[in-house]
Amino acid sequence: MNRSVLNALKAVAVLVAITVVSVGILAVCNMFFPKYVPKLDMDTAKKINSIAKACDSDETAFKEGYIVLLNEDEYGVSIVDYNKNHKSRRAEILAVYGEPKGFNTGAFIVESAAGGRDSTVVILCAYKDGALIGATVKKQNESYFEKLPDDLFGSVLGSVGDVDLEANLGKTYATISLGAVNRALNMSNAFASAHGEKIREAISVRSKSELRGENDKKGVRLD
Amino acid sequence: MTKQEFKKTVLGGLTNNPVFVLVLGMCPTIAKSDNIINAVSLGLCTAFVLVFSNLIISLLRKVIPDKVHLPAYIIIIASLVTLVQMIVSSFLPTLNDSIGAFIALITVNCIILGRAEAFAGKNKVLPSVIDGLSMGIGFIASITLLGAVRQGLCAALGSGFFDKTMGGFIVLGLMMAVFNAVFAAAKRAQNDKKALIEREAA
Repeated sequence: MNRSVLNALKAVAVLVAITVVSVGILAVCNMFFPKYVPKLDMDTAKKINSIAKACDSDETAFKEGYIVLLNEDEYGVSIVDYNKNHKSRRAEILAVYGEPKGFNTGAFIVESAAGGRDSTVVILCAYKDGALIGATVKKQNESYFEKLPDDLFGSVLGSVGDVDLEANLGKTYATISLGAVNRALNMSNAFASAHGEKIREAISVRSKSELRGENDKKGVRLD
Repeated sequence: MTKQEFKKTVLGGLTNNPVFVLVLGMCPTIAKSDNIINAVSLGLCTAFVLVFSNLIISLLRKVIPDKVHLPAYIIIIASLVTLVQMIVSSFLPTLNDSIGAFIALITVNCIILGRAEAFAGKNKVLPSVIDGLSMGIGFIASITLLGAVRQGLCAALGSGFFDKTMGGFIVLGLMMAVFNAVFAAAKRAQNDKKALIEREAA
């Protein structure tokens, strides 16, 4: 082997070594850094109340149990497993919220996310009676997101299966961001179709316990 | 490293200020200096990457072949930026929402690659770290000052101009002119003083 080949091999080896070490360190760090834990805060409650109205006041909806974060144990579906089994959709389910009382009792909201151009786009999709009744973007940090129309989900309300926002909205000049929204929405729709029944049952259990709690407060006995 | 070289390295962030003198890293400087908090945060992230990239590149300077030094530097810088992004998104999600997109852009910030190429790749570890610290502090100071002036102007004259890119460029240009004028005057005064001492001694 001549000198120049050896030099080239050395260069490649050094680059590979640096890359492997860097990726290794990042992978180890990634294992120990805290993961995203969904929680119901005032902002989320406000957004949910705007797409699936539970009561007139956002604050009441948040504080008095009109909107609740459902645990996986309640509806018996592991979100991690679901995301693993649907990796090809390039989106993930983050959390499920429910409305055990209020104007839209029985409605549930799926929080899902997909990678956009510059950031992760997180959306909230509300379902009632097996159909999408509202959706909104919870979080995004995309450069060209303002190019998308305000009424992003208007054309897909009432749908359940996979939708194509790009075909509905035409050219937007924010194709990658729109693609992320589309993937997150389709992931939500698929999850809602597959597990909607179990989620509704979980909400109805919550509704009964809410009602019992309220009656206990009022001193009413249910026989 | 001689005393003179040490002094030059320590004062590098002022005499070769990355924003006001070298005019490097303009994209994040303009985009995220619309308020002080964003400016300080981005400055700190950049300074962290600058110091550690200088440290690692200086440590590996004899191992990295000359022909592939640029890709090697980029891998090191990009890994550090990814680490910063992971830390910010895990522990400071609110900050991540406001400057997240610009953290990734630190990878291609000319200040970092410039210092790696011009200094860390040719010098020992300690001077490289000092250079990174000096340049990092210089960047934090200038972007914070710019952020403070823009926020102050917005508070006094109302938002809509100075918090936008065009207003940012105008403020930056004016501050650059003031910085260079003050710096030149200080240098002239120092030279005059030196000349006077020499004349008196003669």
